[in-house]
Amino acid sequence: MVRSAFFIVAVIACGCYKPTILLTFVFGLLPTFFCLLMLKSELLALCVGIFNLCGVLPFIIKAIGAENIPLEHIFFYLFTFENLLIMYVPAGVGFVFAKFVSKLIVKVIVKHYEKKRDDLKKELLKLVETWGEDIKK
Amino acid sequence: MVEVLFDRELPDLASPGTRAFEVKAKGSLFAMICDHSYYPRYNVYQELRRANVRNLLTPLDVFSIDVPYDKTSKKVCFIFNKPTAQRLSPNQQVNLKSLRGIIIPRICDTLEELNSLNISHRAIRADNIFFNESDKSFMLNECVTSPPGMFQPAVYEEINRQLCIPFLRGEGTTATDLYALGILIVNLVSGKEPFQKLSNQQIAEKKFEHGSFFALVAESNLVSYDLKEILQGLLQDEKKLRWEVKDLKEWVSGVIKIRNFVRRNFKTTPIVLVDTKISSVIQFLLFVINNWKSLSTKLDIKRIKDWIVKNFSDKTLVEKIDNIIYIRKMHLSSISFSELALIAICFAITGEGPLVWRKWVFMPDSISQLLLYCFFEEDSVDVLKELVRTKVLSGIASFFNLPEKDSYEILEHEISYNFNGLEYCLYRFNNGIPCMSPIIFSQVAFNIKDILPALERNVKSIKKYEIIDSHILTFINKILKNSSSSNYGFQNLKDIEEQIKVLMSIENVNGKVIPHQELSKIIINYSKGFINEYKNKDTKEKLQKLIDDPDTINMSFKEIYNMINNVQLLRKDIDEFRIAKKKYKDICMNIARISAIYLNRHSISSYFADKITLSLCMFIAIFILIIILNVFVGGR
Repeated sequence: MVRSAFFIVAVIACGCYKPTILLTFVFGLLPTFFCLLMLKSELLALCVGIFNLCGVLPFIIKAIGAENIPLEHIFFYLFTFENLLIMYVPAGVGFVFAKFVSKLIVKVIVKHYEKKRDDLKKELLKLVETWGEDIKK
Repeated sequence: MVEVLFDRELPDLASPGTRAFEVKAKGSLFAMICDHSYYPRYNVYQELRRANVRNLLTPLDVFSIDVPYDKTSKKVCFIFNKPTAQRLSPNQQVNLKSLRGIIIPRICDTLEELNSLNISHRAIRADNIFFNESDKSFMLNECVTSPPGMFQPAVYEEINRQLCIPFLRGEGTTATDLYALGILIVNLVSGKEPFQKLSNQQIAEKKFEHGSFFALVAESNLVSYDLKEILQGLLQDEKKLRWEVKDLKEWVSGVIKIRNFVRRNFKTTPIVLVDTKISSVIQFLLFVINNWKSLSTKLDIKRIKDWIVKNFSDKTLVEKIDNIIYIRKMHLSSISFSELALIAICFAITGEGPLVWRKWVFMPDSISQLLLYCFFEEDSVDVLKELVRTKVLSGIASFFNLPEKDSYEILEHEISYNFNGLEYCLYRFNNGIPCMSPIIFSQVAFNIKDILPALERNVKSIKKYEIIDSHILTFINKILKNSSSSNYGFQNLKDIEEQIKVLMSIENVNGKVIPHQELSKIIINYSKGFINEYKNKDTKEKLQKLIDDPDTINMSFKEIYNMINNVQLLRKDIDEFRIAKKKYKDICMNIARISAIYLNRHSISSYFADKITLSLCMFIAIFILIIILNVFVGGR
């Protein structure tokens, strides 16, 4: 589903048919495409994609607003260090987010339910203590 | 209750089967302690206590007491006023003036009052009279400590009664007492007991052969005394012709009343029974009594019937015998037809008894003693039950119009249809008798309020959780409702709960709750079982605490029982247990669900963590997008 969503986005972008936009889109979302194609985790791809899109979005907006800019200018513009940093660092943040926040949440949930289970077990013991072994029958 | 001084015995005041002692009390009282707690005539005692009979030693009180000379059981103690006169001896001669002026009139007064109470004394004899010639004080000894006529010398009894087992001579009537008075007069005038050297059967034969009057007058050489009329009147063997109290009163007041003396037809045509020639009714009776076994196997009933037709004026006798034995034969069990015929024939030829049955010779009016006798004679209960079930007794009573007809019918009904019906009848016909239960036998429980103290004292005789036996239950049923089948059932008696309910009822009847600690311990021990019915540990602990509380044994049975077997508490416990059980199951399911879903890292990750992460991610992304749009779009 995630993959399809990105495909649709890509198609829409292409639909605009501006080589500058397409170029920005393809180069900007390279980490997302990599994750989509190479990694199995959908969550990872989605997180990376969302953050990556956030990084690429200003350039796309810029590309939409600019008229008659030669293609090579776009190349130089996109491949400056700062701009690459703006586009790819959010993707990295998304990768870290997906990788560690998820595990943290799992840990928190497990901890919570372990406590709940222990409380229930204590309650069971109390019931057996009050009503005897017959309660198990 | 007065204190009995056991170190000061009064042998001169003791009746047969009793011991007399001084008592510590105001007035001149003494105690008579019966050897056997079940022999006294309690019904007579109850009647006499209500009435104040002149010249009769009457018990003032009765109770059970521990005695130092027999520590195995309690004894029954009667309290009397001491007689002021000396006891006469059977070999003491009394002058005619005293006899006519004091003894006979006083006895006449006593008998008149007893007759009005429908009580017979049944112990009128020389050594039962306290008499002082000097101050003319007179007292007739008591008549309650022994069964009627049991200790009477044979001669003092009417012919048919003297043939009976002494215990079963029957209640008798005032006529029986008047006959004994006749013998007493002969005894006191002659200064010796008549026919002292003869056996019981010889005396009977003599009396029968000559008639009591002639036999005794001849024996005692009383022809010259001026007592012919009274003796002739009192020693009539035919009851219908015997003087009544009013005749005696007339004689005392000086009216001479001569009644013809009728002698029974002694001789009969001979009949041969088991190679023995019989030529009188008394011989027939004695032969049956002594040869029951051989007769019951070889009895020619037809020949006996012919003999009866030839010798007796009552031509309906044979018909009556036939009715009794033929109608009843359908009820026969192990009783042979000959045996049944014998009891009917023996009764028919005398017309008034005795009833002869195997080893038993008893009067029809001895039903209360007969029941008592059976309880103390091994295997007799079954023999009596068998005899009663044949309906021959009620048949005889019915065809010969005996006043005991109703009693025999009640006995038959109770024995046939009710469990312990025999014992019920025992209590019914011996009103006031103590409970026969072996558990409290030695404790002499006269009424319901005596049962609990008796059980308490004899708690060691109680087998595990068998507090109330069928005897006690019958006793209670008799007292409470006069029916052996009402009140408490016997079928549930093995159920300790039913027994506790009976105990509670007894306590209820008593009204005032007196702690019976030993019985309470039994109930508490049993009730511990109830605690296990409760599920809640706290309730169990609370109840256990109550049980262990030393004050609990002082509570009433009802309180103890209700405390532990509290229906409301038990219902609440059951309901709460049901709820707790459901809760337990829910918790188990919850734990299983938590273990399966929430504690499985993979499932948490796929179900929750991923979604939460994604949501967070989207949220941050939207936030960043808003900023970017603000910066780029807004900046332009």
